[in-house]
Amino acid sequence: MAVSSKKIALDGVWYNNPIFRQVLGICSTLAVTNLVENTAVMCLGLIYTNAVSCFTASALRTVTPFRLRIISSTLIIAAYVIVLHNFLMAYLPDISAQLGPYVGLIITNCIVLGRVEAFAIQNKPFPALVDGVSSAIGYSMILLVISIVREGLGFGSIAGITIPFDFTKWTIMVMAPGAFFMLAIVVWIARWWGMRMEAQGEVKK
Amino acid sequence: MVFIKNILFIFVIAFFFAGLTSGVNMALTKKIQLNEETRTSRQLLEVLGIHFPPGSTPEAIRQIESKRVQSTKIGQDYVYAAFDEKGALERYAFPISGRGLWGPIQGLVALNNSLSKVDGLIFTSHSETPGLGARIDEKWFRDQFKGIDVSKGSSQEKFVSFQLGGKESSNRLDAITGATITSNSVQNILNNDLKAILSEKDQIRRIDWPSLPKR
Repeated sequence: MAVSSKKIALDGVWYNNPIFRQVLGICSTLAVTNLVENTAVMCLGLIYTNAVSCFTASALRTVTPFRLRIISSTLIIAAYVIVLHNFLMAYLPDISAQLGPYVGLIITNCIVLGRVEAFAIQNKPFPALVDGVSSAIGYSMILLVISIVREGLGFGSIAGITIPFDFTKWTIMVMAPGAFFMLAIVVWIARWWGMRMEAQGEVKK
Repeated sequence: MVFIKNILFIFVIAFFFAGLTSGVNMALTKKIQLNEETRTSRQLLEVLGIHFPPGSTPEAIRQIESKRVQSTKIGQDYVYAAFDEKGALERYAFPISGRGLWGPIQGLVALNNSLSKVDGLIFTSHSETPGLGARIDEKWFRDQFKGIDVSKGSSQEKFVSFQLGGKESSNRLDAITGATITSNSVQNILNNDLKAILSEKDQIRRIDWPSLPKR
């Protein structure tokens, strides 16, 4: 199973994007995307957690008994998230206060366990690291797009900076339904685009 | 054999990761605690209307607090008082708390020195929805409460109520759109707790504040 790092990275970011292909990590996509700032910190947290968890799980893959893989993966993920949470509380107390509950929720993010289970425990540490980082980036990309639209329409600002022209704010965009609509629209556009690219590729052959 | 190997494996990695997390926790506990205390002090100074430069170090904040703020207890409840440069009582602050949408909301409310007007409000901890209920932390929302008239004391029926379409009087305020339950919780907490605080008006006035350290 020697797959090039570039292919793994492209897979994670686009062809096997965790949000619109694998439909993983939807809970946080719906929950944190009403403010760009919160979304950005959540994304950075996930990139870190996914990278180190995939790496560690992969490094331990040869000694991990098959029946104990989920319990040990969960343990690894939880430990790294607690470390992250402690660092945020110590060095970025303001952001930590804002994000409090979300950081802990990275533990339950399906993408982390999904990538560890689907990729890391069958591959060498370096490809696993690339896979972890790239699927987290794929996730972050979609989340940032959704959050920019939601904050823009819902609060009339982007990352806390007010949009210069005035319009009636779409309050529904900052509430849960707005997230469902935006997620569906983004998945639709991304898949349509992906299908178009595939069709063109076939014609060229 | 496999069984023993499995148990041993879990034991080893659990031991290792528990060690990692508790190590990090031990290394950072002090700093986290200091951050926590600084945050509490900053909020107390802010609600009491004591100015401090935005980039103040924790030590500077602690120093201002020790010079300008005194605290004592009436029964179970804390009372804080701010004194001006000359040592005259400026404001009181009282802890308030109640139920929010997802968990308890705690805060501090400041009253002027004659206990007739609200002078400030801040929330010290809550778990309201970020982007919706958590907007009670925003300055515009908290600043609305400044100037609420409480001069009738605990006999007053309601101190705060939210109102559609702007203000009619100083006691009617804007709620947060999309956060009805949080807005109502804040309203109830203030109405209940202000009543309780003002019913102890005489006791509060009789508090014998220790004189502040001379500068």
